Amino acid sequence: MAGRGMTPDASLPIPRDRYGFKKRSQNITVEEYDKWNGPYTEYLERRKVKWVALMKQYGLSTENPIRFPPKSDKVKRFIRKGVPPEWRGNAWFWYAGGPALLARHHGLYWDLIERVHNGEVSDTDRDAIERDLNRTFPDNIKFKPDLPMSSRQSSGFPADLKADSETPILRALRRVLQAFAIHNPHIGYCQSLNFLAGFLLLFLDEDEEKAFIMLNKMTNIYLPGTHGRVLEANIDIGVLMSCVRESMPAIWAKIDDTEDIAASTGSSRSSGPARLPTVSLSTTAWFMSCFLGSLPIETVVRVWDTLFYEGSRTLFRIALAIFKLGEPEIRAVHDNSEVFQIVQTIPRKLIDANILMQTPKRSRDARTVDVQKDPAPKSRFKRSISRKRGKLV
Amino acid sequence: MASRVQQGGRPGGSRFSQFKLVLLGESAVGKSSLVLRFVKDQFDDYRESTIGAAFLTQTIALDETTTVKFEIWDTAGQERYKSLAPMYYRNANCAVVVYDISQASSLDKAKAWVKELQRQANENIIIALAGNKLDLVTENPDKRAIPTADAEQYAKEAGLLFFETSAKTSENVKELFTAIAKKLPLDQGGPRNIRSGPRQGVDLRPEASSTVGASGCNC
Ligand SMILES: Nc1nc2c(ncn2[C@@H]2O[C@H](COP(=O)(O)OP(=O)(O)O)[C@@H](O)[C@H]2O)c(=O)[nH]1
Ligand SMILES: [Mg+2]
Repeated sequence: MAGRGMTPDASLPIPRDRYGFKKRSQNITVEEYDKWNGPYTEYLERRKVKWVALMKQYGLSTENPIRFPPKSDKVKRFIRKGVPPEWRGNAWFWYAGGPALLARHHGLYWDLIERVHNGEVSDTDRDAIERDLNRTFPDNIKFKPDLPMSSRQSSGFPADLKADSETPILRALRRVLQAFAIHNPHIGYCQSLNFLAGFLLLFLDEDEEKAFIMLNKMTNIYLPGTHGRVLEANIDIGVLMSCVRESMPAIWAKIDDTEDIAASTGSSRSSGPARLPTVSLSTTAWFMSCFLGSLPIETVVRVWDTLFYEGSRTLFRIALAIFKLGEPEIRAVHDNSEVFQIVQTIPRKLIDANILMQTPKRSRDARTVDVQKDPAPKSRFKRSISRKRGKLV
Repeated sequence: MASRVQQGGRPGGSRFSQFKLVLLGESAVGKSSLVLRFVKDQFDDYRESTIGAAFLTQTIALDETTTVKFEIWDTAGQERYKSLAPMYYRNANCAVVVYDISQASSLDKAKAWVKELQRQANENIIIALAGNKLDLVTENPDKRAIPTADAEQYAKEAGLLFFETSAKTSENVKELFTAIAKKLPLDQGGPRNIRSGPRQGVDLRPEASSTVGASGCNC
């Protein structure tokens, strides 16, 4: 998300979305954003009316609600169509089972903070966290407020401004990541956790304890192993690639360079990352950051609505939907390097979350990767993945 | 790996080659910033850290008739990504291993990457060592943690190109990539193919002997 260039008029405030992110990103202009946002805002208002009716039906509050209706097909449909933005964090927390987790781990976070103060975070993790704090959502006003006009005009900021500019949410982010690193010695700190935790803090009113609980759930239940000290993100990608191969053979034909690689490297390595097509490199972040940085913000929040309700199958379903939506473009390319560019760019342009959420119409693709209906322990998850791979490959 | 090298010439005698370049090095040394400077001639004081890897391309003209296209994979720097590393550097024709001249430990990490590349990657891979954030020490010499001579000596012994760079001021950035391009095997592989239509495709002209894969490794 770099390279904004010059704002047309430096005296105007930077246009931002409803969450405080810059409307403009690498692949979307402010004009494109506004063009989409008008009708989408009306859509949100219509959905809000329906949600209010649904909540009333269950006798639930509609003023900053913390409880939400029990799961059902109808509620699942509601979730897929999007939670009202102002209820979003609470709905995520509720459907991820946050209240029960919070009760079970009562006081844990503050104990961990105590241990952080006692210096229990390893130097490596502490250092890696520090390097990433300022590189977490610099496009969001809570993370990086607009600077006074005078300094915005110069190309760089004086170094001492950096220290001063640490915002409350960045300090909260540091604590959450440090506490997490102590609590999860098998993970410690992994790049991308800064984005996951930062996004959680943003939507949970900077409630560190809740963000911590949710981050644990995401990394240990939805994506076990993915962020580990022995990084297993390639297992997720392996599953994804198997699904692409099975359900979208024409795309697979375009992206599969594993033969070339084996031939040209004379590689005898028959498993592990060496067997994945190169385009996998573009999809690693999809899983590690749960699409943050890959999809536009509004699309990410819609994916996360479903993620916390339906679990990790959502991530595979969305990843496949991205390939599906990009199929015409991918099939049209002649050159490997164009494929990389296209697979990287397709999600960044998917500003219309409704299209993505409705792809594919039939949910067969999603079901083939429904590896985790219930919160399975890591080993079971892995076994089901290797089963899956055995079946699909 | 030669399959990723695409070469061709137009009847006028111009040449076009395409190479895969990978950036490696510790987190926050400025890999993404170097690429951004090289590809878009921009610099951001605040940009997001790279997750996984990012793909970019940039084409440079070496002289009036020679064009080189870099397919660049910019990678995340954290130690644990090492398990994915073979995916980054397999088939790579060249690599830029970056360290931060104000961070002593970052050169050790760079050396480890060089070692791994020399052991595991393509035999003829061209490796450049880049000591980044040169502007910091220009401003304040006390910030230098790695003397130029030390890094230079190491680069020489290991057979690497060597530059001290600044993504911020752009010092030596273009020079770095140009030096790599100049070392790439633009002239090998016999007669030039005409590059028409799909680059990956097979050239059907009878007189064109494929430069692709024909003589094994091209570089
Ligand atoms: N002063 C200075 N800072 C730099 C330079 N290159 C990168 N940085 C800063 O170092 C930090 C990390 O840069 P980044 O490109 O994200 O590093 P990467 O993790 O290696 O990709 C950012 O805050 C950059 O602004 C440079 O040449 N000079
Ligand atoms: Mg980077």
